[in-house]
Amino acid sequence: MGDREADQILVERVQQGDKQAFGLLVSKYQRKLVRLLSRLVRDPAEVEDVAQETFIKAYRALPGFRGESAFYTWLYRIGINAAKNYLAAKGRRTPTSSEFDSEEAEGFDDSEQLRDNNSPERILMSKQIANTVNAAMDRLPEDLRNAISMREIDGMSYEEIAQIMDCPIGTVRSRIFRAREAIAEKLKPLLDLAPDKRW
Amino acid sequence: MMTGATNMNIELSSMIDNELEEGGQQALLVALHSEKELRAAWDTYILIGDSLRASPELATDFTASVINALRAEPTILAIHPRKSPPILRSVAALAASLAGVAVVGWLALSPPATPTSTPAIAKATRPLPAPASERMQEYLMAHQTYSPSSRIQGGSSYIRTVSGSR
Amino acid sequence: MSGGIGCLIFLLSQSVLAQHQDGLYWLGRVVSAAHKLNYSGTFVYRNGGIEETSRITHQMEGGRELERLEVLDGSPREVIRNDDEVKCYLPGSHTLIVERRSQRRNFPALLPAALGGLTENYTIRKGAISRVAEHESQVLYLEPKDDLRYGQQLWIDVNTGLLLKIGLINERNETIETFAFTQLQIGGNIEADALKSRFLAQSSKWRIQHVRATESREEDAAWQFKTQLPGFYRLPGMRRQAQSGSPESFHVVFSDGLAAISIFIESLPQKHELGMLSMGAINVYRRVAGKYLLVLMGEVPQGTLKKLGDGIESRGR
Repeated sequence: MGDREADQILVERVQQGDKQAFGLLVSKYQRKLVRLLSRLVRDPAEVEDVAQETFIKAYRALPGFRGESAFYTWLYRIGINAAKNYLAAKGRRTPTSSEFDSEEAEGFDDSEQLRDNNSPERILMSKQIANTVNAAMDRLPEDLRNAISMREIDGMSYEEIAQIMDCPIGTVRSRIFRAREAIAEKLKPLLDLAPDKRW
Repeated sequence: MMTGATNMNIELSSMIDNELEEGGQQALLVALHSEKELRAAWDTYILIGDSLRASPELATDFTASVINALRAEPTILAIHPRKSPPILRSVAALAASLAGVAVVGWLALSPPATPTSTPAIAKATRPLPAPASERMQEYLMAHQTYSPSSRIQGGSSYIRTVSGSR
Repeated sequence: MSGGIGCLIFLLSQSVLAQHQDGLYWLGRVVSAAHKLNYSGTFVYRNGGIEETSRITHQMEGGRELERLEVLDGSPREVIRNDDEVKCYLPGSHTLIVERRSQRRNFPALLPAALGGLTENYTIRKGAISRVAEHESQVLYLEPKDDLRYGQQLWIDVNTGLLLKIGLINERNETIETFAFTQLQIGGNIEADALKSRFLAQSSKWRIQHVRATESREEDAAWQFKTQLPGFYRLPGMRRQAQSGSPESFHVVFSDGLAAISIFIESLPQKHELGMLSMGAINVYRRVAGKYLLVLMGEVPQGTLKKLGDGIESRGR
């Protein structure tokens, strides 16, 4: 099953009354959405507000969402509108580039500028997370590292990875899980510093 | 184990990769509803993925804030007749009579989700690590030596060898 | 009536045949010119975001072939070829790789006569005449008959048959790589110094990696290549022995006469990367087979590498 079907199951869960399940979708797409919106909304202090507002708007519109498009595509369009409204309210012109109409616009890398305007605490936190994850990856046994790299970076399915590693799918599942657990263990001290982020 | 709460973490890991059968999904979703530690594990696994993909906004973490804001929003009860078990329909009818719950209506039958046909082979953008890249240089060179392209193009095809060393 | 149509079909197929004959004639000239002529020129290599200018010098003298490729911009690198010996100078890592090609290896596709096999997998079509590096050139298209391989466009010097420009075209009809001469001198004498590496003196202090490849029929038998890739044939494998440091491997080549896929098989090393990788026009696919690491590479679509790679199995052991 692909991403789209998996998201649809989460959406349906929310549509059946499990409000909290929406948090799973927020967690999954928050950074991706922020990254894309930051190209329209330059102020890093504001972009997260617009992103949060996008999710709330999406929740309100969710009853009418029938899965005719992928959830993220639909979310992205709501986000673009929210960003445009925000810019209009501030009296600013919306960039006319057509690339913003496609969610594949991720190739355009403006992240350097975003970081410069960001608060030192946030920049530090981002760096610490990245460094911790990279250090943990380096210390992983080779087969765990390869398995999680192929899944997360190359986007391969368990079946493709099993083919490449010449092992059963169950072994792939286990390797990826153990890689995640090992990295999560190293992240624990960092993440425990923010108990108010739990939901 | 990081969360220590349940042994459902491996299912969670599979679900993040869209590699869990639908039956397993439902059980996990029920567990996620009640277990805070399991939701924290979801967050962490997602963060790990975002970090590996070099997302710059790793400090972003506003799920709790959004969920908090949703407290003020009505609970959705939008039924898919093709999918929901009978019990939910009666719950919907009951809910309709309660104050503070907005029943947002019956949805038309949605077309069934089409499965993806062939797995796409992702183009990796990982840089070559140093020791491996030396071996790659050697292999690239050997490849050019025995490839017909070097006979048609002459030595210029070796440029592929050396340019790989960037 | 049927006679008339039969005659028409015959004429059409004759014209396709004639076109192929003509195209093959031009290809034959290209292969011949690349080896027989003395030439020296500057060319630009473009590949996605990469653009590199290099100089290439080639000499055929008394049956001996000498060639030098030197990168002019960016970090300095060189390849020197002396008949069957290839030296790759990498000043960045203070490494010199020396490989001597097995003499007995007579790559069938390299013989002009064998080019005829190309028409099985490619349609050869002549294009217009255009100018490249101040030379008149004939455009030749090699269009793949399936999606297992890439297409090519060649610009061939009308006078000498030397290849002036070549482009690799992918399954989406995009040009993914080009080599093009910007300046070229054909014929005449080549100075001895022009064929010597600028790193000759320094490289004596570098790490020198000698590699020798020899045919290895026993190892050939140890591996099974279950995927039938239409149009590709396999050459007997070679054992690659390194003097020191670098691991030994078994090298098998699959080719369709134009494109080549190399498969390197080695014992699974401690550190290894897996999966699909794109090095511009060359794709690389790495997977594990038992206790071995398979590294496949070639100027072919990723799907082709995967199909071939997934069908490799060791026979017992």
